[in-house]
Amino acid sequence: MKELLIYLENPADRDELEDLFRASSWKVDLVDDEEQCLQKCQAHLYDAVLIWRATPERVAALCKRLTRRQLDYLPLIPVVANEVLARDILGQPVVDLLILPMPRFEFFHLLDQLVAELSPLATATEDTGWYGRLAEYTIVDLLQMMERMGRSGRIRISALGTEAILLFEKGTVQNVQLGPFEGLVALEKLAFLEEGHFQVKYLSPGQTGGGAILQKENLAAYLKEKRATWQAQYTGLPEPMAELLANPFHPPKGASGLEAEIYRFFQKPAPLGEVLLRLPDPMDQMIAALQRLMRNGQLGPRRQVEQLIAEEEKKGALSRVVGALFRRKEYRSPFQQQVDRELRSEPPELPKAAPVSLDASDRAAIQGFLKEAENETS
Amino acid sequence: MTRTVYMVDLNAERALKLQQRLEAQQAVARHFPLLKDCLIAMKSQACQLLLVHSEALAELKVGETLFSLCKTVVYGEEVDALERETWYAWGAYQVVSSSVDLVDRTAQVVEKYWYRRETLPAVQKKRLTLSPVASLPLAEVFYNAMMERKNLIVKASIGPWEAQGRFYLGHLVEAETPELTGSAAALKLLHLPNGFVLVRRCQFENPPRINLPSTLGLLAENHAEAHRLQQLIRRLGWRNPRFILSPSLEQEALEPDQQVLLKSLQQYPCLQDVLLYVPLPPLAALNGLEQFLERGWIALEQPNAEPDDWEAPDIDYLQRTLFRGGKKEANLVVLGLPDARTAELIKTLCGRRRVQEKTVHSLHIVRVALQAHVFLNVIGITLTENFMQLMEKLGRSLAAWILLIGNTDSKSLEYNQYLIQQFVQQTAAPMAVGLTCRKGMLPFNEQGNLRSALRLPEPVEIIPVRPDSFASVRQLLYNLNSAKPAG
Repeated sequence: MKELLIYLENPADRDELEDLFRASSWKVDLVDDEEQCLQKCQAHLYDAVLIWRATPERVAALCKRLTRRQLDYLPLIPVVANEVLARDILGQPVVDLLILPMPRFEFFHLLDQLVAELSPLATATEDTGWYGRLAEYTIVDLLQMMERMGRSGRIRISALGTEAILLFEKGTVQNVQLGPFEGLVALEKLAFLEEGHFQVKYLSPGQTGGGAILQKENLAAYLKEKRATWQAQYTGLPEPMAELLANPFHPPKGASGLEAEIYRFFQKPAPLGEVLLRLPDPMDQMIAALQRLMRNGQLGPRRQVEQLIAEEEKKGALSRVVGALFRRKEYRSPFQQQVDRELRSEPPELPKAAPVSLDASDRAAIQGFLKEAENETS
Repeated sequence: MTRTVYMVDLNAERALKLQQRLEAQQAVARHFPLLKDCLIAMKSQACQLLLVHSEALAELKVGETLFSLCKTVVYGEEVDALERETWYAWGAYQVVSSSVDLVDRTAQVVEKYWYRRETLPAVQKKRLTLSPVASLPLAEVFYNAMMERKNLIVKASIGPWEAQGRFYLGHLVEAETPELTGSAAALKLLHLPNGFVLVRRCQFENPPRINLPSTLGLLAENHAEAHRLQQLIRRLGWRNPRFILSPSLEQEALEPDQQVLLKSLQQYPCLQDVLLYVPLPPLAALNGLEQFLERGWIALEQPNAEPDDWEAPDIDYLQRTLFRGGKKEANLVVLGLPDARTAELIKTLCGRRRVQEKTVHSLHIVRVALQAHVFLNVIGITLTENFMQLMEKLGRSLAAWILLIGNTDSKSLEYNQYLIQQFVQQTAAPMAVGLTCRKGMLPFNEQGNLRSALRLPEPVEIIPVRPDSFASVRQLLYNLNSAKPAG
């Protein structure tokens, strides 16, 4: 039975909708609140979500929140009573738009057709194999399931910008490759992941070509225990998908080599989990170093650090402007500065000599000059 | 993939406007003033979408043929409800009319078609966990949910049949099939022989009440029932035999559960189908079938019964198995070893249907019309050195394949085993092996020896088949199964 969620703005439409779907084969849930709509989407696997008498704003708001919660796989079908609204609504990630009034047969025909076309179950083929999210099946789950089924094959993992390959031979892990890491080291790193995707490809026994079997007793139990320890240690740190950035104003001084390396890693923004996959150090040491760097403010969520940088730059820019203003007033050329220095210095002391009186001839000469000057001015 | 759209419109100005809008969507749009020109062009190059203005449809007496060729959107300024209904009945994909701007509205419809075809499936692939049941059995899903105390929604389907279950901290709190709810539905889910399963973590609004038996209990019961089913299959001889009803069966004398089973048997005469569709818990259905067999109310269909054409339940089965996702065409390859009487089997397979036949190099292709606009392409190939190249070309369009073995000596089997293995590794398409040789002619005493000689995996059925008997050939098709889990 197909399941449909109808999000209606006006609760008064409820009766009309109940009547419309009463005789249909659809199993329908009705909600009239956006938050309730999101909760329902998280609790069920609906075949489609109908937005009844949709407005562009409401559709945009719902699409945004569905995407944020990774529920954007749901086919959204707005139903509008006015064709003019279509253009604005169709810009959103909706699968189609139904315009009322519409004959009943056509409404259900289109609804059935859309759902049949978009159902992942109906469109899957045997060749697609088993794929999915680590949120549903972590590496430890996959390990246990392969072991129980005794299958041989290859699992490809892609998470946080890295790729890994796990090879299985009759249910036993044969080899693991994660970038430059191999074997148990790689597996430990992967075991911590809860975000990312996997794709399973079964092969006949002997076809994996993975060489020697990874030697570790009770591997799944060992990884589970490790994972629980790391998760406890991880408490307080942001989600592995959260982007971090090194704080340029607060570099670690006298820190361990690992802390410096992590600090260097986050010179560019990167998801927190990525560092755990890329650096070779043991997980517990890396988590501890991350905790210290975060606590000391040397590392922070990207947005916070970028805000801090912007503020500092703003502050820095202001002080530079003010400084420049003052420096302009004080500016003296190198020559003037030399003069200033000389001026600031004590005048040279003249050699002391015995006082001398003016000679009579000199006095007459001076008076002659003064007279000439008076005549010229007059 | 290129987006190709053909448009049929008598109005060149309107067509040009629409063409420009479609080209802005990175589509290759070709305009034809007349429908017949478009039909000719479609023969040489297929399109993804066909847009036909309602005026251009006047050329057409019956649109069914046109609408079955390609997804067809009919657009027009004023289209009344009656016309819409007619076109939808003919198979139109969508009927668009607009009181504001027809070109704009039609372009919007096409744009959303690309979104549905290209964008959303990619998002769904990123957000959901999906697998063929052959690769991820439901029992594994249940066991893992229980052990890891997960909150999960599990949805499974075979064709249009869908069922689902929800787990709260590893406890099954809801299970539903179209016919059943609760533990009976959960057991039916666990019995699913093939199909697909969709899994997603979920968040419960409130902690639910747990009214169902423990997950471990359900798994144990399923294990016991599966064992019973295996016993029955061993007794009957193959995995999916077809039953016939005895004329002595008095419907009125049956108990209510027996009547339900009888009704399902009339609709679904094969074992696996009846177990899936009967609105009874699996154990009750198994008990009922055993009782029917013991009392002689049903029997295995014998080749003597000699039907000579596909019947409604057969077509229903073929559609579910070979025409997945509402396809109109499916390719069935019959790979014959020398002396396997491949051509004879293909001829029998056609029943009394209208067929078109062609021979291209070493390929013998027969197109069988199962229903209006539903075609089964049967492709006969002889196992030669270049067969791998042919099979690779058929690749993903392959719906299923049959390996036909005739009077073959052990030496050539050894050689062919390598070629067959190569192909088994490459495809997850269901297969069956038919033995057409007469008793005693095969260099192996038992089918088990043949299995090991060809290194065939357990799920593949090896069935003796008479190429000139329709019932026998049909039985072969009812036993198609995946040689290996997909992946």
